[in-house]
Amino acid sequence: MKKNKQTEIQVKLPFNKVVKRHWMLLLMLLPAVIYVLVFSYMPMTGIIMAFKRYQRAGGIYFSPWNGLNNFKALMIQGKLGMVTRNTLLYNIAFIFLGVVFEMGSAILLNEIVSKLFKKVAQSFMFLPYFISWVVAGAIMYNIFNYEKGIFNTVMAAIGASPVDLYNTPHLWPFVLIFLKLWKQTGYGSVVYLAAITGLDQEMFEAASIDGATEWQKIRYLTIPSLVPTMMIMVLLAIGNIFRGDFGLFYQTVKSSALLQPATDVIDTYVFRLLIDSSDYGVSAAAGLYQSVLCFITITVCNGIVKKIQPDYSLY
Amino acid sequence: MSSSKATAETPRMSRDLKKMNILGIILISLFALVCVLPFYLIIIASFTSETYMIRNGYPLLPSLKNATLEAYQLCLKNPGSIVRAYAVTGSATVIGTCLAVFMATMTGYVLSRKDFQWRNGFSFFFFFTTLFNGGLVPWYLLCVRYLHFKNSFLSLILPLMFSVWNMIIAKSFMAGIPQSISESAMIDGANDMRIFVSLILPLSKPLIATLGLFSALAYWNDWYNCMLFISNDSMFTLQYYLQRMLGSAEAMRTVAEKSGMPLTSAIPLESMQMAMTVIATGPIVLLYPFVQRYFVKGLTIGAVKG
Amino acid sequence: MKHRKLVSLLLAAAMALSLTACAGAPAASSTTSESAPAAAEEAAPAEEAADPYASLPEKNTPSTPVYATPDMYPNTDMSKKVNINMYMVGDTPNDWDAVCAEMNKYLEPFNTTFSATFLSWSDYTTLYPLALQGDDCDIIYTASWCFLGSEAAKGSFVELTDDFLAEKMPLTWKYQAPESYAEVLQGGKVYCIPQNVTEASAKYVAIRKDLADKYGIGELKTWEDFANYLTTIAEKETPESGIYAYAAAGENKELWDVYAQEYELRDAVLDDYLRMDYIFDGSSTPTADDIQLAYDMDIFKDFAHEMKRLADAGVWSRSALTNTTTKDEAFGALQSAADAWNASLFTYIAQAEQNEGVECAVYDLAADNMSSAAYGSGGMALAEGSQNLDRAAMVLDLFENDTYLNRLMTLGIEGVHYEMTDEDHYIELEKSADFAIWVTAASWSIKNYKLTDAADDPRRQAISEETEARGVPSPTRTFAMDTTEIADYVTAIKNVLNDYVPMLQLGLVDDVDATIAEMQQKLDDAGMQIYKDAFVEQYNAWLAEQ
Repeated sequence: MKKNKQTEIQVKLPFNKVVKRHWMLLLMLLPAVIYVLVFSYMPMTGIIMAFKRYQRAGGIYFSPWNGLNNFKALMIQGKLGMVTRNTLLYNIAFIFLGVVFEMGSAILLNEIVSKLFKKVAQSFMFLPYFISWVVAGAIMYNIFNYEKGIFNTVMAAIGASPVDLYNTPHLWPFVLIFLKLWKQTGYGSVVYLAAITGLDQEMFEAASIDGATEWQKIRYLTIPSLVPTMMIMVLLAIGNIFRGDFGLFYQTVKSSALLQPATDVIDTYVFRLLIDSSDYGVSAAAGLYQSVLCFITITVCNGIVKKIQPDYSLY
Repeated sequence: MSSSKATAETPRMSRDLKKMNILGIILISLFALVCVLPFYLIIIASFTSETYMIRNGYPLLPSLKNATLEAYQLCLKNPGSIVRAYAVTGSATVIGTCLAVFMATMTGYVLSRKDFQWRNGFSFFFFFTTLFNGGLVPWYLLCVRYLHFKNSFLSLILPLMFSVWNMIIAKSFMAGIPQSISESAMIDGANDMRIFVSLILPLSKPLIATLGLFSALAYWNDWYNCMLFISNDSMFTLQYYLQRMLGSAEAMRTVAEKSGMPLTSAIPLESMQMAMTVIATGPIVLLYPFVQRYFVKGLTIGAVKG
Repeated sequence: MKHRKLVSLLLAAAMALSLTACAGAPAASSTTSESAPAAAEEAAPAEEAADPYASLPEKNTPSTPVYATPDMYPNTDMSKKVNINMYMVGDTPNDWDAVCAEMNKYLEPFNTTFSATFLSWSDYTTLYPLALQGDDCDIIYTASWCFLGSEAAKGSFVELTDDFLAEKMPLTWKYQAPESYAEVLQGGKVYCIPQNVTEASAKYVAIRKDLADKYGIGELKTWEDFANYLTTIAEKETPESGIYAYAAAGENKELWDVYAQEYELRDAVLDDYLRMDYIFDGSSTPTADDIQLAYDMDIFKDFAHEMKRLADAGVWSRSALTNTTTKDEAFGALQSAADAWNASLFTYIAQAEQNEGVECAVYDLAADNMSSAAYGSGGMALAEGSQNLDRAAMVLDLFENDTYLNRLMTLGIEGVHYEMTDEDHYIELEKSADFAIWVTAASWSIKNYKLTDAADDPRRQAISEETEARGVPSPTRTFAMDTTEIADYVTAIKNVLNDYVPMLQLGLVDDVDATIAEMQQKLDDAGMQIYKDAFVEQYNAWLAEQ
């Protein structure tokens, strides 16, 4: 409630007045409140496992304490820093390029007059969303493997030298960013399309009459009016900035250690660490580590946004 | 997705609109092509014999010589289960989507009301759950021990029923609807629920269309809850069938390696995985243009009024 | 007792013949007819003498089957009907319901019903630990690769003490070889019951005989012969037909095994890539000084260099680390010219030889050496969360030892899925596609003796018998490293090994020695010395006990 005090310009009402005036709104909130209490807050108490040595008999709450050993187990190899950095950098790239691609394709789609083209193109752009990373990984391998891959076959046919993608770590950031955009753009552009269609048409007509070019209209009307949507999407993504897309990083790279310095993120690292031990304590510790980092980042970012433009903030 | 340009769609297109169109068509076509190519490869691979693929990798061009329906025959050995999986997935998607959209918009509306002074507190209360969670085990035990999710249809609906993300998108969209609409209705004596249902929802068609699409996709693509809670194969969802086929190949190789048992002869073939992908996603892809029509309609109707 | 009759009619004639050897037991086997559902028959009043175990044979063998009766379980309360659920990894066999119904018929006198939950391969890694947290799990399959160590450490399994076995699992107590537990010990405790017969195992290599002939290569006797075959194929055949000499995928563990076998390398510790090895002289137990981390040994260094030589020669793909088509699949589909593994190689040879003109050969490159005989590291465990532990113990005891239930689980329904041709040979019947022999996870660990498929490739039988004859158990097999105190280091060490060993095994590194040195450095950082110290300490303690 402390946050409210800073932003609310209106008169503060005492508790019972709010309840009296907004009882209907509160009632409308009730299902969601109960839902998150049951499905999120109750299990959230399991975070305690990060500090326990899980035992079947003691369960989540009564297993013996383990101090910070679960966190130590994560760090023992000295890899945590690297994977954390990778996760962060990849996500920054995903967020930034994601916005560019999603907004860009929404704007371009909107510019195109032919309805048929728009429809077909949009359906096509949605296809990757339905392809699971397992299948995407298999296709990748078949396109890019050194000896028989389609890519190198084509390269050989035109006399170019083959590319040994699976032994070349420094190419992988590009590959992974490309894959992420490939899969996400069609889906992500929907929000922006919805926002564009929600825009006031008269504004555009007036601009046309004043002789504004298409580019000017995009630059000075469309993009600024998409900023609120963009901010929300970016903030939501920042809330997960220390979580890696497991399927993407795992299924395309598999467990090739050669590529790991460039491709390992927290989620894949923890997965491989625990693959045959299912140590709940360590995995809870890893989850808590990610959560705390995300929490700090989003608090800072949301705070900054709130300072500049309170309407865009998440809470 | 037509709409803002509806007025420009006069016989004489301005020159820069034409330029923009050409640029747009080129860029979008390129990207769409990249998106389609893998699907094209999947379809070709699903009709290609396994031996050919192991020898030569995926074919780029279809050839009748290596074509076979074997993968489909294997996948559809038991067509009843696929049809049933479609039914389970379909009903979970329809029911779940309706509930999810309603929950997200209703909650989002309350939190978009500027005169509701606890809105930031509640927003944080909801958003916090996306940051912290207790992991799989406590959640699983809660669902199994206390909510009795095992082999229950509810387990396919409830876990995805409320998405904080969708709620926040709804909140931010509804914040753009002039508050005066709610205020004048309140003066007329309408209660909040009525305002939401009869005034705000009709104005939020683009939002409903978007959230509907997101929720429907979330339900359609969900296999995880089915994996956790459903062991009765008459209740398997389509994506779980697909996931099992895709996941077991890798797992069986790992187990065979570690245990020395000859499991590898039972591994689903790669062409089978591709065929199953086609079976599980093909119909929805074909359906998409039809759904899209309504989707576009929703967007434009909202736009006229908004 | 009705089940006895049921048994007699369900066993084949061959079996019935052998029963005469068994004194008291199925004297009632006058019913040689194969029909008549005996389960419907009324239970006859017990008229036996006080000792219910008197009818049991001395040993559980193909010629002396074991049939249990409820009165063998005086310490188990059978007054209430309860259901016992068994968890197994693997996909549900098509005919499981039918087989399970037969099991339930048999279990009726024990006032118990039985069911099983199969954890699909695609998700057992998630569901297995969760199943043990729930309360519908009574019996569960486990193995060193299937969470035995980590779940035992969590206390998810019931410890099987001598007292417990003697009291609740009398048949296991009677028949299970005490030394069989050696390989499944966790911190000195027993949590699961492994199979009750040793199997000698060796790694062989399979090659395409027709291709060997084409390039004038004769019989393979040593590693050099095999390497020569591989490089010849890579040099001559690969450019011509595009097939690999050896289609390595992900790692090259099998070639390492084949290579190490020639040096009589044995494992004192084998935990995925974490191997503490020694050279076995055939009799004496090694001292702690003799045992080294495998990757510190010169044998491994030589192997890594050899692998780099083969990789550079193009024996396998440069993308082998990420390749997902296994070498076996590739060999079976004629996409590679060699394979290496245990006797299941013959499965893929059979696939390959379906093609015209293809002839394969299997060689044991260490034919003069000893082979290792072991009980295996998998077994059936009782879940801590079981609501009816005594009854679960009884059911497990029955599946482990009762010949009728044991065969239902391992082979399916006689006359439907399989048929016995003689005492220890079976053949698969047409329906066996719906319940393949040895398909259930339980069947991997409840074997009491060797049963062989009469239709097996004679080459397989020959090489298996030959391996069996050379079987010598490892002197260190009863040594079990307890890593509970240093679990975090072990995890970290294994993680480093996972990163480096596959690369080295596949020879996909620029500089072998530098990579090994780098790995050793990382291992030290991960606490290798702590592990080694703990090993020496525990090993010496164990040695002192011997």
